[in-house]
Amino acid sequence: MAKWAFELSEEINSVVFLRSVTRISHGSGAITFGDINHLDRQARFDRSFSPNPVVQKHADLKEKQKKAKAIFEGSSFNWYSGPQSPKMIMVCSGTGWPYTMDALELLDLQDMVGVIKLGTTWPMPIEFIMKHIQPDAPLLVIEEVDPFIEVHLKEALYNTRDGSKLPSVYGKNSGHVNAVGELNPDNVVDSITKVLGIERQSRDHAYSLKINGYAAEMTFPRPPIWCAGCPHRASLWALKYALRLEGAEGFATGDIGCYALDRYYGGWQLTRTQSCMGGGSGLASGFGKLEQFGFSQKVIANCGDSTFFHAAIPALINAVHHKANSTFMILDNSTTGMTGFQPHPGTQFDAMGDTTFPIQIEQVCRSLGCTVEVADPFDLEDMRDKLWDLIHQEGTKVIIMRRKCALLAMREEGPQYRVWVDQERCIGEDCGCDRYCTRIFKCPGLIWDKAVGKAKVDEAVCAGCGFCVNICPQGAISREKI
Amino acid sequence: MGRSKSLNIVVCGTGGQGNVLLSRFIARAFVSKGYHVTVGETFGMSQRGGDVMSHVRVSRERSYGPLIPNGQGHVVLSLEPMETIRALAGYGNHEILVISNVRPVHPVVCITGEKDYPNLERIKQVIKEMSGRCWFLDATQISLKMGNTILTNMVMIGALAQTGIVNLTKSDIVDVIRETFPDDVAQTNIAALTRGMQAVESQ
Repeated sequence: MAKWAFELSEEINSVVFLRSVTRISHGSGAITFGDINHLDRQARFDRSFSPNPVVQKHADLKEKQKKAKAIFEGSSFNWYSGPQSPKMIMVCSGTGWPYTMDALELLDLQDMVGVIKLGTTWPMPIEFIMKHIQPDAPLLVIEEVDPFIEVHLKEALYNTRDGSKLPSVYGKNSGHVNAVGELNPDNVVDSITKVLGIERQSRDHAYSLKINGYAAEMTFPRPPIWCAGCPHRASLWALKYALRLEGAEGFATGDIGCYALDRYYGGWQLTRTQSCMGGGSGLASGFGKLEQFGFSQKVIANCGDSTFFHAAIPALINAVHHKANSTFMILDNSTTGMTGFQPHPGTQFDAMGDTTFPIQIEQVCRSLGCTVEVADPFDLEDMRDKLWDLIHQEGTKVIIMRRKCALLAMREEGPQYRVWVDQERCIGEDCGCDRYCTRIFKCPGLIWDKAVGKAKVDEAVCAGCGFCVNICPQGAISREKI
Repeated sequence: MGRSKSLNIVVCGTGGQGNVLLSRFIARAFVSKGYHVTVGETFGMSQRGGDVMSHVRVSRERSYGPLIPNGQGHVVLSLEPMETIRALAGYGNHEILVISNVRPVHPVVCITGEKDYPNLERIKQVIKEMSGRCWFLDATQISLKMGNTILTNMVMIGALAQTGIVNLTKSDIVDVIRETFPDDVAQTNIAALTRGMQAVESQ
């Protein structure tokens, strides 16, 4: 389909979107490679291109859509399968189609229900659809995200009315398909049974009752947490300390990346906002200008190294230019951690994997004229002091917390320390710390040994970063350089 | 309701245990034997301690969708005992076959002391009761002994091959390992695979 999308783009001289949603992006399967068309062309900008006049361009676009629609009407990516006189017709696209096939197989309805599979959804090939619908067979639309096909199918049917009977259209808008969250085969089974008014039972009822009871008792949620040895845990730990000591209701504005895990159970919820990439920096820049309205809280923008290059620089420039009172904490783990270690302008590899020169975050920030500090998250005292000093200075400040992502460090260098809890020293439940190491710090490498009522290192999980030796008031956590 | 006609394998565990690679290895071994295979890759946070589940669907007839319907699993291959129960709750049935690692990875609610990790013997008892047949092994301990917990998933795939519950032999998997890794890494992985086979041999 990707290959055909390129050909179509050439044919109608337009952008073509190949839309991948939810499970299409998180699934894989066996494919057979076709031939790639190597076009003998030289890269060159066609100077006859003009974006004007815009009104004429809009008219051209309408023409292109007409052309695309004519092609889609006959496209082999759209088809009908099922009986000649179906009791109902499913209209599906994307993952809606395999889920529908699963549901029909499970309900044994393949001989009763027809399926219109749409590969090309817009412009909608309405004549193709009209050819296969029947007045007495209701249409059930199965599609991901918003009810796009459902709405446009209803509109198209309205336009074709000539007094004869039209089929009903069911979908997310009509309340027959789950409109929230991801679709799955079970949703589709439910929708079919709802429209046809039939009963279904997904599996032996007694089994379901029993296993659901066991699961309620024996499985607990596993919210995402920072990995063992994650430098972000250490950086946020220092911020927690600084804000608590400061005592004036300071807070962090967040962004999208591993440091956002502060928002979840494993963190300390210092981060109070999370919108788009770079959004935390923009918000901190704005909050830093609210003094005239009585705003006195300390605001810290959390932002990763990749996000800094990608989306935070304009906000930082804006903050500096307007003398906003905010601190930018850039958590530099030298990669794009959350999405799978892609390179970024601060790394020595470019997007194609070729060696290049890394752009220094501190140089970019200093060129703007703001105060910049660089700290190592695993040097708790130094990091804490620098952070404390910066948040008490007027104006826009930057602190870069630099330490390689624990997963990369493990892969490239292996564990740095052998870490263990000296159970003679740990006084467990009797210690005034109230299980500081596990209840508050929450590194998955440190677990509670219930048998003896003391902390313990889980050797299968511990990444050997050695940071936790800093946190035990008894000094019971020890490390030894490997 | 009818039974799904594809072979449905649930691979589950927690983030960072090598779940994705494990499901891809199974998928690739089946693909090279000419099957249609679809993998619903991960659910949850793949590397951040969350519960992770992959669905592998195998058929001679056609490509199936990336998600296994409720209660339609045939095999659970689990890297973590609590996650085995979670997988059974979603996809289990009286006939399902289970191979489960017995080494717990403590969820953060257990680390903080809010909950106690369930008794392991009881977990095993429930798995026995709620499956057609099951096999247990401490794949984490085996891999720790070999020097790296990263091998846990290879130990598990070895156990899968040994039980013979799906149409994959040791040599099918060895082929994929050799295609994927350089020689020395392949050797270590094949050794882990062999240890996994031995661990369930007498069960």
